[in-house]
Amino acid sequence: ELKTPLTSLRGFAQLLIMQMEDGQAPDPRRLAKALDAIERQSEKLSVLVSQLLDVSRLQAGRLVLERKRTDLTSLARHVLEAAAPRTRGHRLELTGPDTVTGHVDPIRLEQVITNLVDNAIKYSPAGGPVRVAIAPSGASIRITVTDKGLGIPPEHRDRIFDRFHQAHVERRLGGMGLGLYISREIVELHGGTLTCEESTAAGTRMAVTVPRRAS
Amino acid sequence: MSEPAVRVLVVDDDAAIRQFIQMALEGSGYEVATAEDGEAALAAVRAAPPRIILLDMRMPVMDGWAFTRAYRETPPPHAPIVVLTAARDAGEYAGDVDADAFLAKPFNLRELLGLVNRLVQAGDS
Repeated sequence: ELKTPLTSLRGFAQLLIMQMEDGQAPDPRRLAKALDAIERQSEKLSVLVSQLLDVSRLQAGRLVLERKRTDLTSLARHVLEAAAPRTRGHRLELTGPDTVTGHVDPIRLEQVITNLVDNAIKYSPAGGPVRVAIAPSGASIRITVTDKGLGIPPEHRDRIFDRFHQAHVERRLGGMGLGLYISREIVELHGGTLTCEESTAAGTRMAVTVPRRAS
Repeated sequence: MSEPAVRVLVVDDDAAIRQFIQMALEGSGYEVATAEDGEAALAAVRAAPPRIILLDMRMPVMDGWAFTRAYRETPPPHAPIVVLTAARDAGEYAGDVDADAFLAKPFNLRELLGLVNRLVQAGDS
């Protein structure tokens, strides 16, 4: 999975070098195409490398939370705004009170919500709604991410949180299958739970519960 | 009268990889067809027999091993196959399918072009 973006990253760079060695400047459109591909593959690699580093830290027991007073509604809104350019025919929605505060690691929880939203988008190839709902729930905060996409095939449902597991491989949706593993570990480090509450051919609902404060 | 361009079939499930290989080969005067898996590759060889096949091994729907088996059952002639794979054991995979050559990803593009040129010339002589 790492070698694939590296291959085209290197390939496009070498292509441009070879064209310039001919003594002529490369055709501007080809140049633009190649540089755009280099940018996209570098970004992909960057995400994969970060995930591998996280897995490495988790396995060494070295992923440390930095808890701060955080408004989760504002955090979720930020995630959806950042996700908007990645959507195609998707409607991103946020429901819940204007402010829901907890003592959590904002960067890591943003990572979790981003992962769940990205999965919802990825597995709804026909577009549709992706809804994030935040609500206080006693001493905890409940965050759900719901989509009306492909759903998780029953034979995969037990394994979606495993490292390197990928459902729907035939659709070539990319990634290494580490996102949910990392997300669950982060949520459990907070003392919470991450589960797939429901998944059918009509869509999926993932649910995070985190205590408002460390116990 | 100019000779028709030599056709190369590029089989890989990654679109970016298919794209840069196509651009490089076309820049060297080859005609390029692409396929995203073994099944599409079989359709491509039926539609227009290639001179050389560049083959990724690990693909969904139909992988490189299954493609090679099916391809060799079609009527000859069979184009030489160059295995392109990210696996550590690129040589082993190439041996599995009795390929003519292999390159491990990420490979040197100049090396790939040199290999294609040599195989075409070897076939001509």
